[in-house]
Amino acid sequence: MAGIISLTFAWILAKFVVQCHKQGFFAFTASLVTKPVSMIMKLERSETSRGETIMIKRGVSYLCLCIGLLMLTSCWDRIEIDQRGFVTGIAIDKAEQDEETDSKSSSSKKYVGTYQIITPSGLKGSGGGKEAGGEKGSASEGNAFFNISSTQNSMSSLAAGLAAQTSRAPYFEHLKIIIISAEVAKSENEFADVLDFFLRDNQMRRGIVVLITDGKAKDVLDVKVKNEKYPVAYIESILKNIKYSSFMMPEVRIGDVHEQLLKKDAFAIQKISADKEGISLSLQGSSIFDGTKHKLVGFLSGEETQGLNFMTGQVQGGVVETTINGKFIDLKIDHASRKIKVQNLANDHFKFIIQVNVEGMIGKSISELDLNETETIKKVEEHFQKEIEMESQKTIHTLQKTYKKDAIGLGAFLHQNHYKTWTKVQTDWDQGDQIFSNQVEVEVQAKVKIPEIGIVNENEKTS
Amino acid sequence: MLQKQQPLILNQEANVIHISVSVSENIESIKQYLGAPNDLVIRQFHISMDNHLFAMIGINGLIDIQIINEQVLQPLLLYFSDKACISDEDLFVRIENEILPSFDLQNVQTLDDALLSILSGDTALFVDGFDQVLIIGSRGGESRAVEEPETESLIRGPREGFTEDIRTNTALIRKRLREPNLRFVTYKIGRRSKKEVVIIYIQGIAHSDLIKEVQRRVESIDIDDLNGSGTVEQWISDSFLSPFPIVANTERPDKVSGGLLQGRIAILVDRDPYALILPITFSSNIQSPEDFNQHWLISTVTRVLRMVAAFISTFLPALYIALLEYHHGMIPSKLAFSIAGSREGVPFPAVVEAFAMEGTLELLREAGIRLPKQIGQTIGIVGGLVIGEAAVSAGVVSPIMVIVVAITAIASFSFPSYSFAISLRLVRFGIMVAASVFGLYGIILAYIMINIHFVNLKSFGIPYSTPFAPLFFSDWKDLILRAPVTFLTKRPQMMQTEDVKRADKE
Repeated sequence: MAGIISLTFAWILAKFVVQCHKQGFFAFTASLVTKPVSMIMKLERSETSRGETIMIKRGVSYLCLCIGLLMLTSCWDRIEIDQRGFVTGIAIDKAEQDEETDSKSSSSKKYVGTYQIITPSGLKGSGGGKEAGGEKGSASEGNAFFNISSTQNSMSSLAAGLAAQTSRAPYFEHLKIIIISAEVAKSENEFADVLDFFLRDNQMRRGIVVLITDGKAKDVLDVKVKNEKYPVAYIESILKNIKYSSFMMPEVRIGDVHEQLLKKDAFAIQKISADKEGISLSLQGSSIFDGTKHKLVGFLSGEETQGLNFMTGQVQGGVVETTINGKFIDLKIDHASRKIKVQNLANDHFKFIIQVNVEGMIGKSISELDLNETETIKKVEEHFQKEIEMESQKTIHTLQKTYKKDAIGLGAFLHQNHYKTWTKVQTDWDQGDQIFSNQVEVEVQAKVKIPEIGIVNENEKTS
Repeated sequence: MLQKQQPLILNQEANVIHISVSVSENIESIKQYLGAPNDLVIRQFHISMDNHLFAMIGINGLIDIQIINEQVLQPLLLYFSDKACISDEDLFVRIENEILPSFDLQNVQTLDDALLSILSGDTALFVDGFDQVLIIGSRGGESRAVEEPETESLIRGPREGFTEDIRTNTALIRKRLREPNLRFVTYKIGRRSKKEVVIIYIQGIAHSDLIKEVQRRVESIDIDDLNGSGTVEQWISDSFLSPFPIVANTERPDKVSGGLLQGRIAILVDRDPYALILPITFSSNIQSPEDFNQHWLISTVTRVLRMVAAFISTFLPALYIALLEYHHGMIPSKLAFSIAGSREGVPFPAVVEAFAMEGTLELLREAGIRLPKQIGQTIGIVGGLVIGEAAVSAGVVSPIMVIVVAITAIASFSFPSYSFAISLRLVRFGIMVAASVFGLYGIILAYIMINIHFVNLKSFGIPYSTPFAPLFFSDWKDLILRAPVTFLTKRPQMMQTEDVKRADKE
């Protein structure tokens, strides 16, 4: 194909040269501009031929020139799909500052980056059971992906460094997850600096999920996975389970993080933790970030995250547990919503009311309750309301007293709805005077509705 | 003899050959013009007491001998067996008016016409003493029966197809339209072959300018022989550079009659079982006569399917190239990994792979057509199974590529219009080149170029992209959506028909 094109091109070039030689270069190029190409190329035989054929011949010669132009571009960015190193996950840790690097700490490398790169041929066999890949966990793992680490000063030099270590250059368009260790996230402004590469580079998508881990980020990528073929796919699947667990935060994409980084509000990012043995992962909990310094201030537990989710209206499903007469009873959440109201803005005392509306069905009941009676349902609903209110208050307490950061978004609410008040307090909201922790009272009013009690009435005859 | 050796070209204004009064002279000159071939049958006989000379001339194999025997020879011989020849003056008129029971009789004045009729399969009756010839319609000879059209078979619909015989073909159309305004305009085209070309339209429906234009173009054909309808199509087409068919061809009389009622014009060529329908638009290519036999929902879905097929057969290999060479990020991750895995170890870039496989497919298709039907299946097995399977297991091409090629092939076979499918095949290769050089950008450029071409293209004055581009909303009822037949009460607006209504509403 290319041969034919280049031959055509060469032929035109030859014509060109010959004509140039005859007429002199400048005269020729001048005539090129003024006359149709075909006239110069002497493509047409006679002057008297019909206008139609002149047009056609002119068209043909232009076409030849255009094809020749194609040679100038010549597929410069063509890369075969099987020559890409698909990076699906990146873990970023702080480099250990010890031993010999101590003396010249300024030049010491700052980050350890771990890339999870897919080995496509390994993915193929293990699913169908054709290969004997499934026999040992490590064997199949080794086939589907490999993790590769490097220690560098920045993310882009990390990419460059790893390109020198792998046969296939890292390719980020299928990057799904960035895991950042608490160590990196804790240092001031470093979090944003690390993410800058992932926001700026043109191979990056804004849908990459950002996760914060309390341990070493590398350990998360090293986890031995069960259902999926590589850890990142495993984590991705867990992320989708937000409909079944309210202990997880909804996924935070790098685009969302970027928005938060541009604002001055505190925010929360999902937390991931791997156990020491590298066998299991958990996405329960969340991490709280400072709005101005953009650094990690601490983590919320699973329960606290549930409270936070209720208050931010991000609950999509999950289970609320409460006790009646010392026995556990569960509510399976169908959907939940919340509404913020401001009750008092005067006298340096802010009172917010967060109304949480939850609808769901009984997930697990106990024998003593006769759910056929409306009274009992009312009672159960009240129990759940109290539970939700209590949990939310716990979260509020942690946020106000321990972290002093407004991750609920009350500040943002003021900003949007009571701008005049906000302009007065915004500098001291969760910085400086700490208005959020000292002068804000939040009341949570939960309203639980149980329209259905499940597909059976009772589990055993009680009376 | 020698000076008359130059070939005779019939019906030239300059030198009309007149019929001689002497029969034997006429026979001599006919023999001379035709070179006395051995399939020329000359029957000379003397009738009645005064031995009046008669001669009948026809060509063996073209004439139906039975007609001649029953309708000419028998009555003539019987009539004159006991009579003396009547006065010379009215003999000819008598034969024509009283004696011959033949249905198709013609009186011809020049030898040119007589020769032409003889060559067409009629029989000429020469009578001594008259410079006229009686032409007795006796066309017969071998011809194919009306069969089911092989290239356009339907599940539900008539099984009749055109044959090579133009009389049969016109009759097939007449049988469908008992319409007094149905017009057959016959031309004898071809300097040497003098083939009959019939322009068919319905007076009062087809736009008169369109009729005139088609007639003008058909009259402008000047060539020794028309190969068939394809040659006519190319002679009268608007643009010879466009790969897209702007004249439809069909073997189905029902399609022709449908087209006529929509205000289109049909052209039949003798010895060709394909009728031409014109003008057509892009949308005609995705419509099949079967659409009107099925429930409207089913037809609509089928048409959507054909649109999708058009897209697939044009763009799929190009998309494959573009996505695999340039835009790996646009493939869903898991699919990308699986494609990358299946391409592991394939030595060629996707472009070469795609061109090789598409080329192989075209070769297979071409080979399959040329071979006798019994061997055709073998080609399918060798091509499909052996080459496909072997190429994959040898690691020369990736399995995904085989899937792409297969889907493309299936999609391109799903068109009711074969000629449109071929042009899409052609365009496909162009788009593949664009994709391999510029990626998706190239595909979009090519797509834009095709669209520009579409809106520029005209079929006998009707823009090819109607009713999309010059917008005729009322025609959308029979476009991709095929509205229930009770809703289709108007003829296509884009055809500018003289009679607009097909039915009065309600």
